Amino acid sequence: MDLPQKFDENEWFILVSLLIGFLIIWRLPKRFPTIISVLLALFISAVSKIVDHILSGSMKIDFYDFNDSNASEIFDLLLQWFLYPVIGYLLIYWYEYSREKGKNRLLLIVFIIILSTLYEALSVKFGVFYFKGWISYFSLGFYSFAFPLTLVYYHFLNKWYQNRSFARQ
Amino acid sequence: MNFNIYLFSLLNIFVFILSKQIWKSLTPLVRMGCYLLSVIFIYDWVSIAGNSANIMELPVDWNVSILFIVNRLVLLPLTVVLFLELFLQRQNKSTQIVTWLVGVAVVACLDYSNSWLEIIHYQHWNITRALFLWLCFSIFFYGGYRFFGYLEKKGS
Repeated sequence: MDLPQKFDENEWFILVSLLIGFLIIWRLPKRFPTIISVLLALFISAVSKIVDHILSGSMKIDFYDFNDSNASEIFDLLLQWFLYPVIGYLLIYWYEYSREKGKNRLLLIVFIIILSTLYEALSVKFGVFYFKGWISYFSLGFYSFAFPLTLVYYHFLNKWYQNRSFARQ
Repeated sequence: MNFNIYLFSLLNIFVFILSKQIWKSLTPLVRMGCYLLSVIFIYDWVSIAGNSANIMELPVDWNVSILFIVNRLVLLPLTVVLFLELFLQRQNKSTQIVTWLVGVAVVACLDYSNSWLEIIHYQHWNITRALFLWLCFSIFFYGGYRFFGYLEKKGS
């Protein structure tokens, strides 16, 4: 596991994003049971690892690179282990909060997909990703699939959690 | 090469069906947690072995690459969870230890069979090291299983 070749804006972007993300999670009232939060984080981390493995050069396709080099470095792991799950958790949290307030689900999903794409575009500006044939419209397409998939998974987790609660009563 | 693809495809289907049949002890939440833990471990291991440590030469051919991904999404993690399930269904300590050791051996052989059947190529890596890696993972994995069980019982 390599250290960054140069500690510059991409590393700072990851660290500052993580810090802000953790601060927001810490300040927010608890909405999900711990097991659901942990399983959500693991799912987002696993999906991101698989997708990054496929798209970033492990197969014949090489659409993008991360951070300073092709080799696996510590900030790649920070990105996949912590930053993606933190952002994903916050988006699911916000979706659930707004849905309970009676907001339109479809509009919320569209807005979250656009927001995810914009955040990714910002991370490209800071050198977290280097696109090599990938464009932000592809990300829009990817998030249009990934966010609803995460929501479906979240609903399954909730269902299993409820069943487990009934079984114990 | 076609033989390898058929063999691994059949193995994937077999493990998938078998894991559905044997599922008794684990609750859906704990099972999902254990499955994701294995997937993440396997992908991190591939990433470190393939990119940083240069001990694994990843496949370049499309069919083989897809098979390699499916092996790491279905075959290996489901086999790990399957052996955990078998381990939990054993009644006494001695059969549990036998199941644990057989599980480690089977998963290490399944992992290393990617190299035997020329899906990937290992350098400076052998079956003994693979056995040791999966033995260490099995201990970490059991800890993960206990952790998910604790979180599920704890509730919110």
